[in-house]
Amino acid sequence: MPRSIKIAEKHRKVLVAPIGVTATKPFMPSHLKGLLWVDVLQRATARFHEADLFYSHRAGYTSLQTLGFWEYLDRSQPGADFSSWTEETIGELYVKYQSGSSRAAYSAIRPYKEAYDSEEWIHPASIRIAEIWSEHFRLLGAHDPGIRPAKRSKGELSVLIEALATRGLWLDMRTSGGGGYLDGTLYGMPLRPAVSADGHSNYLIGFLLDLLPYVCEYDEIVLIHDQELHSDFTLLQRIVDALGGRATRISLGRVALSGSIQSSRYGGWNGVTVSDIAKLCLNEVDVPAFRLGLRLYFISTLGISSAQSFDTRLLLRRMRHARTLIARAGESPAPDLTHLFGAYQPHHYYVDPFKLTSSILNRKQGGPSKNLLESVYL
Amino acid sequence: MISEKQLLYEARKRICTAQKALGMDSTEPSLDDQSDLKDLESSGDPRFGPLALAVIRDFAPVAFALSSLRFAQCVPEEWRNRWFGAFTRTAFLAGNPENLRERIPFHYVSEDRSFAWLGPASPQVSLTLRRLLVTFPGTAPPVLDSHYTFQVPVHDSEACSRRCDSRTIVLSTDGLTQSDYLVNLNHALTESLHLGLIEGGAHVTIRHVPFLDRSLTPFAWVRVHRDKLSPSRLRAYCAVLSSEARGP
Repeated sequence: MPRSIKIAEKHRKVLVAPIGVTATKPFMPSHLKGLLWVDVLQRATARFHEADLFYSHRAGYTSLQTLGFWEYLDRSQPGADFSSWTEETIGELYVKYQSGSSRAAYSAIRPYKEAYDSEEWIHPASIRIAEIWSEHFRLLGAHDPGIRPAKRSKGELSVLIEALATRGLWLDMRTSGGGGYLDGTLYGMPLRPAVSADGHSNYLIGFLLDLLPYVCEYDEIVLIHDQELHSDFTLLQRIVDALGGRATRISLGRVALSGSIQSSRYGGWNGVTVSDIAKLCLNEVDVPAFRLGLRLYFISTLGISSAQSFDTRLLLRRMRHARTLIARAGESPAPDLTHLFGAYQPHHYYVDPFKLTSSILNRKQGGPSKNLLESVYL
Repeated sequence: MISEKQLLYEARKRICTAQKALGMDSTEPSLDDQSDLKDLESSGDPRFGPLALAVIRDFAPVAFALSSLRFAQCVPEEWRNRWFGAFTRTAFLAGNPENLRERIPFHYVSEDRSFAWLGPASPQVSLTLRRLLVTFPGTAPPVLDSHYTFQVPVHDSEACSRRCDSRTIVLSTDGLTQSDYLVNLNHALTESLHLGLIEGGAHVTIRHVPFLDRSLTPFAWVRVHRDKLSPSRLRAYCAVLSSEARGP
């Protein structure tokens, strides 16, 4: 068991709240980067405080692009048994759906939303992908967010709207033929559509519905998101603060593939899925070095935001580096405190994964102990 | 029914009054003018005139009416004349004035913070407001009582010792959206105020009818526009009744 380190302040409760990846396509390098940042941040922070993970499944599975994709699957693949399909096969249909020619009206999508709301119904294709991802997460030594929350929240929209409206954070145009907006204009942020005129709420509402019960339960909520969602999460941060919580944000840049950064809805996963990456690396190193090498590469080498494209040569170099660190770890005195305290964020309650990972690569600071590697990286 | 000829005449009268407010030469129209709808539109194009901005939090007709009047009373006179010349052109945006007060130098914010008004606005402020807000959707049909009455606010500079006549303004509501309704109400109130048809302290009754008809004539002021239900025709959307009119 990892040794508990108490710092000279009171024990805190930290909620690590990333935007999750919806099981509709293969798990790609940008997803991998997010997963590993979250994993290291949560495990390292847990050395100081109570650090819980929060994934809003509702945000992903009630978004129009997911529900619309499910409707498209049932329309285009009637009677299909997805239990033996691959990530790539389902992902190809996702790209086809996202190309825009096969989108249905919201009236056709609404039953899928109602099924999720009433019984957390998930389409079999997404269940299949989540099963494959569970295998990935086991291999990666990372927490599996699963496809359904461990504890179901009621998620009543009216309660959320009332909480927002009483703080001036909600503008309701639904009785005037419009939608509902998250209102951050007090902070100079544009109105953000959140509920459409036909009643569909977007991923921000899903995220807030799941998060609301925890806002005041934690000393700090660390929101982790793609850079592309910067303005949405800046608004969410303000909302959490106004609701009585304390939020901070980490904005992660996506991983460029062959010089371009694009959403997985456009495909482009040939040769870079988790299975492809694992196959390449496990030819060179064992599983522990694979896990550490991935974290060295995606956290330290790529950093919070990098223009450099995913590079398998550099990745393999990190794998070999990881193998060396693990081999030497047993001989090191326990330098956990140097590394962990150095990466503990001033004025916050969490450990910065980049600082921590860069620190264990810094020879001057000494290599990581076996204890640190096992509790945070392997 | 009011004849097309009469409607065209009333529309020309409004354009003529607006042009005079801008100091332009304008021939008094007559009922025998042969001009058609196209001529009317080309002479009354207000696209490049001054624009007021109204921020709306809720569809609340009485509060809107009072805020519209308060705004029209407090804008600088020179700008108000030009605004009148542009048919009191106003853009309606959806937003919460309470959140914007620190950032936007509104000319008037209603006491309950449901409406805020701006005009004139610098391009910078106007752009900021448009960046932050969205157009008021107002596509739902308005839910309205048959009528409501309020007292025109008395502006600081206005002597209230003058006669405080009551006035009736009739609005045609058939097929209108909330947005259409507010547009017409705003024109009726602000232009009536400018023309001296209503004054501070007067009691104004707003009446709703499906369509305006001849029984309401003569009008002291009327707004005629293309009929949104039948765009090749004109329609009287709202009118200030003259004291002789019987009223609905």
